[in-house]
Amino acid sequence: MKDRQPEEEFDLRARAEFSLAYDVDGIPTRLFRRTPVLARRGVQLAAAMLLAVGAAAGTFLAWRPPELVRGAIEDEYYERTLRGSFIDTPTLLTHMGLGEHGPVPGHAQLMRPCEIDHRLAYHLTTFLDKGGLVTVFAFDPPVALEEGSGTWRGVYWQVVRSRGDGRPLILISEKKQALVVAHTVFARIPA
Amino acid sequence: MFASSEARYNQWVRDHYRFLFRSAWALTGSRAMAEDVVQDCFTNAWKCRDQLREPALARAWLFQIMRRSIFRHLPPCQIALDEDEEDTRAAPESGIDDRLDVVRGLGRIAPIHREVLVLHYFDDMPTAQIAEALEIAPGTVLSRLARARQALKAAVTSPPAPREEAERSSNVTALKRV
Repeated sequence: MKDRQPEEEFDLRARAEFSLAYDVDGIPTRLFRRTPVLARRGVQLAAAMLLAVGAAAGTFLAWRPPELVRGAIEDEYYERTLRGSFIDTPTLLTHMGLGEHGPVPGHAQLMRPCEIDHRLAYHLTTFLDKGGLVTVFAFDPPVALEEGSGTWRGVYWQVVRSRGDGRPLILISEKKQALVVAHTVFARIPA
Repeated sequence: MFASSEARYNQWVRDHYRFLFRSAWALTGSRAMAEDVVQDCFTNAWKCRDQLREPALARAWLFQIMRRSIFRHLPPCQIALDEDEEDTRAAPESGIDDRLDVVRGLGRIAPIHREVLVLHYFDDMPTAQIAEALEIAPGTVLSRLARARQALKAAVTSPPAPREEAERSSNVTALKRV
């Protein structure tokens, strides 16, 4: 304390008397702040974000097609430019549920066996009049797939029951109209 | 972020409550009023917690808030800013031994002197921090402190005013009547 006058006996006495006179007990607990964890803004914000992320993830998962359909869409994408017949027509038509001796619907572009998610599948890409290009997949042995439809990665998809034994077929096309026409050709007509 | 603010605030309460409460008690002359003032002070400190830029000045900053709170609690006639004006309040109203003349003397000097002495004697606060707490220049702190000590010495050595003596003997409230 260079800047102040030196302490005298009076100052020491003053300090001692003040210390005695103004004695303080403990600190009142009401002065402390204890915000409940759930009332904190950060926690509320995190919970809200978690909820939003959960809802978004739920929506995304609900919107996403089944794994086999995604595999079929991927296969269709990679074989889109492929043309030719790599399988005999009766075998393909049998698995498509169209009968062994019938004609291939539309103008066939690609017929071949392939593997989707480690399962044997029959791939038919054909051009349907008044519809357009459509790709049909049938699995051997038949797989358990619920009927449904939607869009995924810019293509329309639909799961239908075949006309023959009612096995699931996956229809894929870039045009919705093609699926409508394909449905009338490949799907079982309800009784 | 909120949790860290809360922890910092609670640390202020732990570190500065005793000093603030003793100061408020000495400045208002009333323990009950000091409790209100300190509570008010911490409430305001929480509201303005982001305004404290220098953590080392927390005590001076809190004192500043508390001082303003005292201004709000005390009637205007008791907030004398004139150095020549003397306060005729008695010392803290309860539990104080009659021998504590310095304490009684503190109650008789001007509030402007009282607050600088409180900071000096209660906390030994550095001049720069006293200046921050009282919102005055450091040079003013030194001159005011010197005058305040003289005033306190004079108040201790001089006999109490007859009116003050009468108030004390009749157990009249320590606060000056408006």
